[in-house]
Amino acid sequence: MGDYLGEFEQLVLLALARLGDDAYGVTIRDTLLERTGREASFGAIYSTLRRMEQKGLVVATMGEPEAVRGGRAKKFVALTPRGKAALRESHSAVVRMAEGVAGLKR
Amino acid sequence: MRIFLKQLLRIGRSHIDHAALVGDLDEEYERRRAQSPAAATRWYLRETISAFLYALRDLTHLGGALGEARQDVRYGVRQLTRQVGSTGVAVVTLALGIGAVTAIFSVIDATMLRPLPYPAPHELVDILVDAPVMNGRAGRMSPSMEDLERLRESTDLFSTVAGWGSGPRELVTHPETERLSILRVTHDYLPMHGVRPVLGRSLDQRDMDPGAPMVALISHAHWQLRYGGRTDVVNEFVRFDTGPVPIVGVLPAWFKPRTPVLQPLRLPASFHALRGSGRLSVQARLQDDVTPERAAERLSAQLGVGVTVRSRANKASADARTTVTILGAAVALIVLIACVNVAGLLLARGANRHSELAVRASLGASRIRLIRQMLTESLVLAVPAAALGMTLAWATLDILIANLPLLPTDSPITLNMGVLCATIALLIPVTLLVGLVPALRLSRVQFSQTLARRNRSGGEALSTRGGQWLIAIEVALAVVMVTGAALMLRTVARINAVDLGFEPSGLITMQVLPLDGDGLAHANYYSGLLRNVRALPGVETAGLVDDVPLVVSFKFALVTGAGAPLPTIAYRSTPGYLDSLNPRLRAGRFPSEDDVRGQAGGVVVSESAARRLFPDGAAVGREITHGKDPRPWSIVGVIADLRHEGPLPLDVPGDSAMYTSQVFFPMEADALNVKAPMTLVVRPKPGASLTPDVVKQAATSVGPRVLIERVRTGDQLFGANILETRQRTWLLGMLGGLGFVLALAGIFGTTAYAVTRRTGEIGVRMAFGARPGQVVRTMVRDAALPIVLGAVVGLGMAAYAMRSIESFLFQVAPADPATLIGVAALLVMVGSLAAWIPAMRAARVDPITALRSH
Repeated sequence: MGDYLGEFEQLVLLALARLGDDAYGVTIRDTLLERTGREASFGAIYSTLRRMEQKGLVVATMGEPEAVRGGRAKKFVALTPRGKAALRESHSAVVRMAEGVAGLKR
Repeated sequence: MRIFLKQLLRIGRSHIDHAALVGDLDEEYERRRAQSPAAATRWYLRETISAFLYALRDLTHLGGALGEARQDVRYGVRQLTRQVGSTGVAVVTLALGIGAVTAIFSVIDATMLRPLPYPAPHELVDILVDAPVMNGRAGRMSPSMEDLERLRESTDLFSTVAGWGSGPRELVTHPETERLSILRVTHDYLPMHGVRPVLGRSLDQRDMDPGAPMVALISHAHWQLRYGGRTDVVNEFVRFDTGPVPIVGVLPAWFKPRTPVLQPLRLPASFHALRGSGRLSVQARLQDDVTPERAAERLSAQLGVGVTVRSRANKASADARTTVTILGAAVALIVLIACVNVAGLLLARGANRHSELAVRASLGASRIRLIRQMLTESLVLAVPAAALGMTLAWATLDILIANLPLLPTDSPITLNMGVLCATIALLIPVTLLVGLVPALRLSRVQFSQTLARRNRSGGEALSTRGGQWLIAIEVALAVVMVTGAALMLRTVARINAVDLGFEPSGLITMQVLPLDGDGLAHANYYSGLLRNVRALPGVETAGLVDDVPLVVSFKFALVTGAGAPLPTIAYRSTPGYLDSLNPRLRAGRFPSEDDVRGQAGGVVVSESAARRLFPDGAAVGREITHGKDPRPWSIVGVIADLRHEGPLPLDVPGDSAMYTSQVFFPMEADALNVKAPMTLVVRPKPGASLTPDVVKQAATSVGPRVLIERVRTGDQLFGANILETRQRTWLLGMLGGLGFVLALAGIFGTTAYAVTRRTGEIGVRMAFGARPGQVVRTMVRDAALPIVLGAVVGLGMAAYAMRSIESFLFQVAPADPATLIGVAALLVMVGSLAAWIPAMRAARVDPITALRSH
C-alpha cells in the first residue's frame, strides 16, 4: 500500500507478530527489551500503536479487568492484513538495501 | 501522587486508551516494586511524564483536522509567496483598512466607551440649577457653595459631592518665571475621581479651612518638567509671586487635571450663597441604583429651584458622537473597499489555479475541503495585514490625534488591549468577506471540463462586467475623496499666499513684562533689553511695540488729519519695530532714533489711513493730532496695510474697513512708563541661526525679574488662527489618499484578473498575428473605459458633494473647475497606468502555452 514504516514502528509491528494473541502494552515492552535491549516507554508504544491504528495496520480488542491493574482491562492489539503487508514490504526493503553491504553481519 | 499523575494522563487520550495505559503502568509498577520501591516510584514518574509529553505531541501532529489545517497553512503560504507582487498589494490594502479600523476603535474606546477614566464613571454627574430666564431663554447655572453643603447631606442620593473652580493664572517666579493656571477643588474632589497622589498626601478637610495654611498639589507633568521628578519635592514650594506655597503631594500621571497646580477651593464669604458665581462648579457621585432623574426630582423639591443632574459619561460620549460617527462611517467605507479589492485580487490569482484545484478535487478533496483551503489562504493573508495595519495605526496614532478635530475626552487615546482584541476579532469577518466569494467561485471545479478545456460559463461574462463596475465605482469614489483633499490643499496654498503686508517668516517675537519696580525701572529695563538684543550676533533689527499687535487685540484712537477725525488702530512702537516687520514702504521711511528724540515726529501710517486722512495728496510731511491732544505729530512714512491678525478674514462686528487704518506712533524705549507687557520683535540676519531661546536669554539677563510669554517664531504667529483649517486638510487629505490608493489597487487587481482569465483569448489572437503591443492596448482600453466613466460620474458627485465643505474653504469654490478637471485627469492617467502594468503580462503570454492549456 505504500505506507512508510519508521524504525520503531517496524519493531513494534514485529513484536505484535511475535506475540500474536498476547500482545498488549506490557508484553510488547518486554519483548522489545528482550530482543533489542531497548527500554521503550509506554508513551512511545501507545503513541505508535495509535498512529498505526489510525492507518489501519493494527486492530484492538479489550480483555478482562484485572485486580493487579487496579480493575482495568488490557487492550490487546493485533496486526491486520494490511499491517502484515506493510511489515513484509518494509522488512524486505531493508533486506534488499542491506544485501551485499559489507560489514553488516557480525 | 500516583493518582494525580494518572489524571494527567487523561489529556489527549481516549477513555479506553487511558485505562489500558494506566493498567499497564500499574502492572509494571507492581513488578518493580518487588525489587525496589523507590526505584519503582522513580520509574513511574518518568514513564508518566514521558507518556504525557507523547500525548501532547500527538495532539499537535496527528488529529485529522489539525493536521490538515497545518497543511493548509503551509500550502497557503507557498501560494502567496509565489506571487509576491499581488500578495504585497493585497496585504498592504488590507493593512490600510485594518489600520484605519484600529485607529477608529481607539478613538471610539476613548471618547465613547470609556471617556472618563475614573472608577464607576456612570455614577459621576454634573449638578446645575435653573437660571433666571434671560432674553426669553431659560438657562442653567452652577449651584452655590451653600447648595453644595446641603447636597452633601443627602447621603441617600450621593456618596460624594465635590466642587471645583478655576481662576486667572497666577505668577510663579521659580524655577521659571511663568503664569500657571490653577484648579481649585474641595477636599473630596480627588477621592471622588479615585485619584491618589503618587507622592505625599491629598487634600483633606482641614485644608479647606480659610484660616489654615495654603497648600498645593502639582500634576505629574509639572512635577517632571519643573521639579525634575525629584522625590523630595514634598519639601519644596510652588513659588508664587505672592509668596511660596508648600507642595504637599504629586498627582498620578494618568490623571490629567488640565492645570499644573491644584489647590483647596476657598471662596470668600460673599460668594457663599451665590449661584452662577463663575468660580464654582459642582459634581457628584451617585449612590448605587440612584438615577440622575430621581436625584434631580428630589433635589428640586429640596432646594426649591429646578435642578439638573446630568450624567458626565453620557455627555462626554454625546459630545463625541457626531465626529466619531462620521469618522466611523468613513472608515467602514474604506474597509469595505479594501476587502472588495482584495477579494478581487484573490479571484484574479485563483483564476489560473483551476487545473491545480481540479486535480485536488479528483484526488478526493471535497468541496468543503477546498473551500477551507482557500479560506485558510485568506487568513494567511489577513494575519500579516492585521499586524502591519495595527503597527501603522500605533505608529501614526499620535500624529493623527494631533491633527484631527478636537475630541472631547479625559482618557488618553491609545492602543490598549481592548482595541487590539477588537481588531483581532475583526479578522474573522474580514477573512470571510475577503475569501468567501473567491473560495465559493473557485471551488466549483468540474474535473473533466477544467482539465480538458477552459471553463466557459455565463459567470465569466458577468465577472468581466462585474470587474468593470468595480473599477468605475471605485474611481468615482476616489475622485470625490481626492477632490476634497485637493480643495483643502488649495485652500492652504491660498492662505499662505495672502499678502499680510509684512514678512512674518523668520521673525522671533515674545511678550515681555518686567515684574517689579516702578516706571523708571521699567524704562531702564526696556532700553537695556533693546541694547542687549541688538548686540546679539545674528540680530538684524529689533524693536518693541505695545498692546501685542501681532495677536488680535485693538486699541482705537481718533486721529485727525486734513479732515474729520478718523477712527484708527493706534500702536506705539520703538524704532526697529517696523524695520523688523519689514512691511512694504509706499512712501517716506521708517522712523529712526532721531525722529523719536526730536519730539512729535516719526509717525508712520498705513496707506488706507493716509488716503483717508489726507484725501488730497501725499501724507508724508503732513501733521496729525491724536485724540484731544493738540500736539501735532508729523508723518515720516506710509506703509502697505498690515494684516496683523493673519490671513483669514476678521470675525469682528462693525466696519472692518477701520482695521486697515493703522497708525504707528513713535515711542522712546527709555521714556516708557507702562505696566502692561510689550512685544519684542526681532529680525535675524539672513542665514543666521538665531533661536528664540537665545533671545529669551538676553531678555532675562538684563537684570530685573521679567515674565516672558508667547515666545513664537514668525511661522507660528498665525498657527492658532489656521489650526482648524490645517486639521481639516489633514483629515480630508488622508481620506483622499486612502481612497486614491485603494482605487488604484482595485484597478490593478481587476485588470490582472482579466488578463489571467483571458489568457486563452490572448493566445488565439497572438497566434493569428496580433502583436503584443496591440494586445496590451486592448487590455488597457478595456480598463480605461470604466475608469473614464467613473471619473466623469465622480466629477458630478464631487461637484455636488463638495458643497458640504464650502465653509472649510478659502478663496476656492467648492466646484472649482480647475481642481475638478485636474483630479479627474490625474485619476484617469494613474488609473490607466495601474491597468497597464498587469496588462504587460498579457504581452508575455506564449500563444502556444495559452492555447494548449485552454
